[in-house]
Amino acid sequence: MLDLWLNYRDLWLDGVITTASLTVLAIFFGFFLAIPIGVARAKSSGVLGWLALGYVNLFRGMPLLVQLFLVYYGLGQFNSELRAVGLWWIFRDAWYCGLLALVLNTAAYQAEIIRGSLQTIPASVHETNAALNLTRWTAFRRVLLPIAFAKALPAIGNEFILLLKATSLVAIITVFDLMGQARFIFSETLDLRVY
Amino acid sequence: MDWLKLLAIGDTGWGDELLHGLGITLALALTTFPIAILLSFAIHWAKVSKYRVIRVVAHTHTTVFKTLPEILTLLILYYQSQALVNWITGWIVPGSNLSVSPFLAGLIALSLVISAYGSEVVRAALNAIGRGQTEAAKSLGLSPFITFRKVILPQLWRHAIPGFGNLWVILLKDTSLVSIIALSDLLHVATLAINTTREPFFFYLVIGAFYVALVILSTRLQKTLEHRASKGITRMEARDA
Repeated sequence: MLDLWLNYRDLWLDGVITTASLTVLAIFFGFFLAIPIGVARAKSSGVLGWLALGYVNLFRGMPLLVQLFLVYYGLGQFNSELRAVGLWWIFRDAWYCGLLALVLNTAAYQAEIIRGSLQTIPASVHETNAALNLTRWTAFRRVLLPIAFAKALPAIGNEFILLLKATSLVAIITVFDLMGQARFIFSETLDLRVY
Repeated sequence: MDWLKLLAIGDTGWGDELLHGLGITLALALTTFPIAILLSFAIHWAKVSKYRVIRVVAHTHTTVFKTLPEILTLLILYYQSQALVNWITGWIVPGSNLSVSPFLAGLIALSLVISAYGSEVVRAALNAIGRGQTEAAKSLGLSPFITFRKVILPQLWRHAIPGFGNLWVILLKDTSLVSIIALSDLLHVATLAINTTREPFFFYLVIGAFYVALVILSTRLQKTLEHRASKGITRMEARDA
């Protein structure tokens, strides 16, 4: 079994780096995408609230594999239109497509986490903000968001682990992360111990 | 519009194939879920056993199947179970060459993964009931089996619905992975349709809508079950129990 490690050392290292970079970048961008969606879910009852609800239900209801295929094969279908707009460089490469799908997916889950942590802030905090006459934006930025972030951190840690497992799916759209390298080495050696 | 013609039922469109794939997806999920629930109870029972070996086996099962990505579990089980079955039957009938269907491999892999999470749901539900009920049943002279069936299980049901409902949704979405091992579930049929019609965006959007509809229906059903199970339980009791 050791020869499987040593012979393909570089490939395994590439795979680990790809998996790690995909996970970290997806969590990072997903968090910043999730904040407005989570706030819209927690506070708005109008159009924005409905849009956020639709987004969250869509990306939590579909399997990640379907979302990956939708972005990679589905949006790849529109290559002439995307070339005209100048966005084709994103969708041409499988790595960017995988990252985009992962970001959209994890943003939906993180938005629900942020919504939960915003809604469990006690009313006394809101009353204190009003008593101090803070503007809504200042109150959100200085008081509510730090409290919510601290509450959400364990759940986002969980989400990080789940995302790490989910990045193995991008191997299906030919991104050579850890799982992808395993498939490639299996195709060369036909040795099941690779998995 | 041209696109509705693609979904027609019958020979001209892909509608009936998609419905067939939906049937396979639901069949896989509906057969896996009861097995996963039974396994969850078994794994939890093993985790509180007084024999250390059984406890270690159960904890290993949970750790392994929670950490491995589901697709890796599925691929390993699919390829290895073939080899394992042939090795076992090789002792009985040398040179036999049985094959494990993708449906069975998907069933085994998904039920193992779901039961790893399900054992935690069972543990939380049993904790919510408390030891008092078992002690009272024992003092009445009821056997352990009758205690479980008539005293614990009806009360466990109410606490277990949210956890198992969540796991059902996860299971529905994980069934899409079996398309990788060529079982013609919904995603696989869509891929076949796309290979002939070259309309990936439309078809993936359609099956995405199918999955979202299934998930929304499941959450509605879960809320109804929760509501029915909490009949007669006032808020004070709900806080204690």
